[in-house]
Amino acid sequence: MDISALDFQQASIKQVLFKSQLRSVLYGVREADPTLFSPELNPLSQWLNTVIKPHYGAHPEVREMERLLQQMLGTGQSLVAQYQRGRIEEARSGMEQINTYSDRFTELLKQFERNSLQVG
Amino acid sequence: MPAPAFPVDFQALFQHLPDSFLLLAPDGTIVSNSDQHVAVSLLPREQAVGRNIFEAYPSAPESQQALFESHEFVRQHKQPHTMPLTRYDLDRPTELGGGTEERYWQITHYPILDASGELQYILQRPQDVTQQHLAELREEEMQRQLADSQQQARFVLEALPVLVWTCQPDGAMLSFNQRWLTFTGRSQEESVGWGWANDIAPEQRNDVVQHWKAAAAAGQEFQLEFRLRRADGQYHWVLIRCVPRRAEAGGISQWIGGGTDINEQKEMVQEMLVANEQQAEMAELAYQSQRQALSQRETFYNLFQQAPALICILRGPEHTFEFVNPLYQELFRGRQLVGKNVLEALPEVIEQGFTDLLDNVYHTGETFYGKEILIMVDHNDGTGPQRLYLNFTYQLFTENDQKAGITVFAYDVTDLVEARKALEKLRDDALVS
Repeated sequence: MDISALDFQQASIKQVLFKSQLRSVLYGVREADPTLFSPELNPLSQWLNTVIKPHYGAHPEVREMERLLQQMLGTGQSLVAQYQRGRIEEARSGMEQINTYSDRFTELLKQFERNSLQVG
Repeated sequence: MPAPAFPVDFQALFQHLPDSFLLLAPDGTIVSNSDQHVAVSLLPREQAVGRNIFEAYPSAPESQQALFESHEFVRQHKQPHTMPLTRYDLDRPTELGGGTEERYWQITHYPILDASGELQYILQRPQDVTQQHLAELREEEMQRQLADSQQQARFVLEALPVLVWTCQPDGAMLSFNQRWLTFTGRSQEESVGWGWANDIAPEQRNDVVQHWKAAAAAGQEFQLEFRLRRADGQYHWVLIRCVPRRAEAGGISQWIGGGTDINEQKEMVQEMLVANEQQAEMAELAYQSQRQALSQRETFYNLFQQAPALICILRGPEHTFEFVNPLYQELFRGRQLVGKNVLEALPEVIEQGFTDLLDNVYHTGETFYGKEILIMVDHNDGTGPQRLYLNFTYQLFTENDQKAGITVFAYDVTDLVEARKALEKLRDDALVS
């Protein structure tokens, strides 16, 4: 089945959910889910791996999205470690970095959506 | 008075005494003064001796009044008298620039009595305490400024929307700002030491206190989050940070702490999480059902495409072809159907009455069942119009409870009809013959 606007909506939602889940760990609302930072099990990674990469793996936007996602997961994990070491405020202000990655990811996603839906 | 062993010039001795002295007659006339007095008074001795003290050293009337009263005391009581600290500005000689010089004096008057006990002289010993006094004034000013800045700091601490406290080096609390006391509704006395810990949520209390003590012992700035009971009995999450204040030697002299109520923040994060999770879940369901719908659509599409019947979908009151399957298309081969309405695509059907049938079904909603209906189709290929018999239904379909269009489902029964007609003809012919 072809990739659709709903697929991109799914990616957006998964991304927002990732940030929300990370933030809730940093605010002590919930423990970190073991899959949250896994490059294989994180839902956004899974989306990229199963929906996008089989068709568009070679696209430069996809490669950048993959790299950004890795950075996002890595940074998220180190923020949680910081939080657990008691550097609470610092960990929370680290969300800014996550937002920077996520804004860029969204931008790429939109760009890629425009291109792929036009072509498709 | 016994005569000295050798002649002494008492006048010179007096003048050279290593301090400031002014010798007055009981009425205040200047008899003599020491060199140092000359130096501090900035008036040559010749211009002073023989004049009244108030004339020689003019000053503010209130200073003169105090001086006069001190003289009076000595005159009356024949006892030494020390004046309160006196400001007694002196004229500066014109050769030194003129004007007056601000001076503060600690002045003592001693009675010098004659053999019969009568007052012979008043000896004034003025000590110039200007430097000392100014230093005291400066010190007072500094104290005032310090108190001011402490008061300012206190005001800022009380005004900030933050809980503030100080702790001993071991982490035990020393003092709280008013905001903390208002938050917990406790007095300073019940809160100091570890009394405040009673307001930590019971399930967190031991952990927090242990963590607090361990962090204080480690001597590093620390942060903690815990639930603290407010005066109204509700527990609110607070985030606190304690920073060590180090003495010059490097040891920790005390801790300064600040805390904020982060209950709202936590709740918002929690609410956002729940909302986002719900949204993701719903989006996932929508996504899955859309995929399912797509795949069902594909199945039905294939079914219609491959069905051994003529199927088409006409949308709207104009009966626009939306879908035709290959068998239907074959009936009108070579013509563009999809996207056109019936009149545009098949103009000949008007005169055959099919448009009226369609309009009727669309308006009444009653399904039309056609049986062995003759339809003439011209393929424009030179073979002339083709006679076809069809069994068909025109059936209204709705979307969202609104009329949407008509589905056409038809069987070509031409062969059957032709065969039956042939049989009938044979039978009729047989009857005739």
